[in-house]
Amino acid sequence: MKFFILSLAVFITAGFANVNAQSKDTEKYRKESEQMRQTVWTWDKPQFKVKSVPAQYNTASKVILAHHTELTADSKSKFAFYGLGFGPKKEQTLTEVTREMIKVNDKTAVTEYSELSFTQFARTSGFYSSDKTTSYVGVRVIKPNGTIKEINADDIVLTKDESKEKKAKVAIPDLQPGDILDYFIATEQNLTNDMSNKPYRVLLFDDAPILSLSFHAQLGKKYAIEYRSYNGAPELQVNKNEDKDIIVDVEKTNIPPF
Amino acid sequence: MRKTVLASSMFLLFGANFLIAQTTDDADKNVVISKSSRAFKFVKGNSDHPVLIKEESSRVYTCNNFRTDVQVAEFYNDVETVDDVTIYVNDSKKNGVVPKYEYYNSDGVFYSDAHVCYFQLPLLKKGSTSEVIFSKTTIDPRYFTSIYFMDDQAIIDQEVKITVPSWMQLEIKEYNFKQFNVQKNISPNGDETVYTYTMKNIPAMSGESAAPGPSYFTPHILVLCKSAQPKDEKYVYFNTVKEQYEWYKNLVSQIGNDEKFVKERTDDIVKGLSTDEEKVKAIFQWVQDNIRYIAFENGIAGFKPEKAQEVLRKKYGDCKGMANLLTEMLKSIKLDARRCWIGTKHIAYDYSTPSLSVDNHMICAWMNKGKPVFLDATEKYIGFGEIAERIQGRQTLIENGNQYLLERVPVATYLQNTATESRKFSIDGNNLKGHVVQVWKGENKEWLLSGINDIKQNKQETALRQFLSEGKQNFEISNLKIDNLSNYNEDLKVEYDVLWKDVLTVFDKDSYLDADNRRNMENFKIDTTKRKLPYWFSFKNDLIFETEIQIPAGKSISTLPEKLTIKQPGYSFTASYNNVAGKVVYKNEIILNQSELKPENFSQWNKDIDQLTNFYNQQIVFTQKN
Repeated sequence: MKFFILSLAVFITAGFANVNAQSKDTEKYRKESEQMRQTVWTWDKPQFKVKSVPAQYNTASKVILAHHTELTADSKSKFAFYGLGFGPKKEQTLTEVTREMIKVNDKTAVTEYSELSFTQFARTSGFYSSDKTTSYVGVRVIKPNGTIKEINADDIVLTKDESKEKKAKVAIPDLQPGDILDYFIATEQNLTNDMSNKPYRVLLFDDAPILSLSFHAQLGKKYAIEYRSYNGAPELQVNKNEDKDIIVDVEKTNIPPF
Repeated sequence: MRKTVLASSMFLLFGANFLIAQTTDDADKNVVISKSSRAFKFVKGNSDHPVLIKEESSRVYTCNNFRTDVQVAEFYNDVETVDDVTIYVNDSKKNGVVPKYEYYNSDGVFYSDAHVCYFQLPLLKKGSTSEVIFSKTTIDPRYFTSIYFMDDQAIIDQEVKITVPSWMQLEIKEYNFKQFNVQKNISPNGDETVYTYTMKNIPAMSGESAAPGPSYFTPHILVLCKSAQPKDEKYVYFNTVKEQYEWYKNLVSQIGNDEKFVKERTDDIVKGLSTDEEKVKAIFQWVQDNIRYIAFENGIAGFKPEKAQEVLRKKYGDCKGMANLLTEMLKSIKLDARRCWIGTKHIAYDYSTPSLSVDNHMICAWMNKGKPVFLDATEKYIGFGEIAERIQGRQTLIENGNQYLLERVPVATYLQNTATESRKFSIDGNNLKGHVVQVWKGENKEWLLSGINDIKQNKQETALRQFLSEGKQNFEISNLKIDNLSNYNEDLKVEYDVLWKDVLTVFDKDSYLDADNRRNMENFKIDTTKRKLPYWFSFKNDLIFETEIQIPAGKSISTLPEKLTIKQPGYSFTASYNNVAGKVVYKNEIILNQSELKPENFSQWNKDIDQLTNFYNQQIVFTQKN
């Protein structure tokens, strides 16, 4: 077992801003999804350009060509009216995008990846807190001749459609043995007055061979990070950029199946 | 709404024994429904939904022994709403129980309009009662098809009342009333007729596996809504199967298949093939291989097939989508193909009762010189011309222009599914070594292929070796050769060499041998203290196991087990050892020529299984010649 535990502790100072709950209707969500897809599909990452599998993995049920997670954490403080008086309101935005490109070689792999379930939208609100999570997905199938087929929003169905929560799932069309599935799930979490530590684990293995696995995080300067590397996993590269954001990177290539 | 049947009705774990008899535990008697009252009334609606069916049901649960909670669930969907729920716990409405309303994820269906209202109902102590009152509305009489009289708990006293105004024409069919002593009363009440069914001591719904569907054994009624004239206009529902067919046909006419697109794809598949049968085989297997079973049954999608070009684009569909695609593909190359509606064996009725409860599946028929050849592409690994047990003998409603055809799907014999294992061994010290050929046909082939294909490709051969050796280290397999792993129209065949180590036990001059390590159906007994329902085997079966063992020079046979011959109307077990020209020839054949074992035959079956097991426990004895 090789993995990191990354613990994000949040320190936020006071500030002023309006409380502005965002309402996301379907059209808006679709537009945001479209923007997210454009961003992720145009990532300039060479590992997502690899389409061939080393001969040693020809008989594997599936091969993960590339797996990358992008985590950003931002925070700001505002001053809000709570009914009994004014008080500090600490807002955080955590965005996690995980993109994976997998060569599916047999029927079991097709079955495994033929359905995708996710929570599009969830909101919980209390007197002092108001948390919101929105997820976006993008799925495309790359055929052996290089043709790329992206699923359209109409293929997604809602299994829960309420104002506080929307759950969705999608059956991936035209996925067959020999295809490459390129998909991502992006989750944006808006948290208010949440001071808890955020443990985060990066696993550097799978039951399939992985050609490239990478993790990149950009944490605002008000965050602190504690981390450990276990079982021979490479050390995290932790630096600061010009804005004093914390930049975290780790990458491992050619990982055999666990 | 309609539950479409998933392709595989199998299926046993790969590597497990042939089958496992299953029985239920004793019914939980702690909670019973002491009083159940259900009232259904046909009322006038609006122009969109001219006839509504209102249901008010009250169930009083009584705790007999100890405090507990029971889960109460009521299903609803696009045409059936839950309007109100009232919950009393010990006569108190203030009980903190809050019903949840959620999407219901039913097995084998990716997405549907099925929803469930559910909650945990507390029963506070021995002797206490809780009551649940549901109000529901069905907005179209077509979907108001049946009322079942059983529940998850035993019912002590139940009354079901249906109030039918004179403007509503319907027929009620009764099922399984005698066994449960259901009483009926029909009484006029002004302009209405009231049907009242009363019954006492209805047991809880059985959870026995490998059993017939509930329509075979639970007391229930089918409500066949024929027509209604609530105001001036008359609405005809399913007066006869003709109206049901017309409704289906109308849905088919709305599909919007793209003939050109379908033809282009079909032409690719049949390129170079000359006979019609070759083309049908190729198209059938293409759909089996390339279209995944994923069912969407939301609203009318439960009844209307998806467009053929969409199924081709998505490479998935449900039974209707696959049947429609097959039909359109065959038609695109000028073959006569029809969509067929069918109720699988799970359902007790046929089209003599026009109702949406009659069918749950769709297949395709290729009319070969006017005779239907049935094609069910949801059966992923069945060969052309082979028919799955679940549709054998079932009546099917076949498209025929403005008319329809009613035909029964042929019944295959057990020979469709023969699985043969033939071994030729010689003795080498305490070991046996030799060659084995195994062949699987029909549903045995489908069962095995389904198991193999559920395993990752790089682990398939290892899994197959484990299956063949039953995980035994001393059964060493080499030179494994597999034929027809992806051609379902031929028998699945494997051949291999075996070194079966330390299988002979030697005492002095005698060597003892258990030659049959398969021991098909050994100990396959039915627990008659628990099982009440018939046992349904997955399919009719024929298991042949043959071994020839060369008698080594210097040894002779001193004991051969007596032969076994059991022949019953539904099954036979025959097994024999013979000494033929210097060889021991063992042959064992288990035939299930019927897939149902009735409770009245359980006792005989168990005796016969005991005999079979005793036979397996005998050994061949070789003796060293002086």
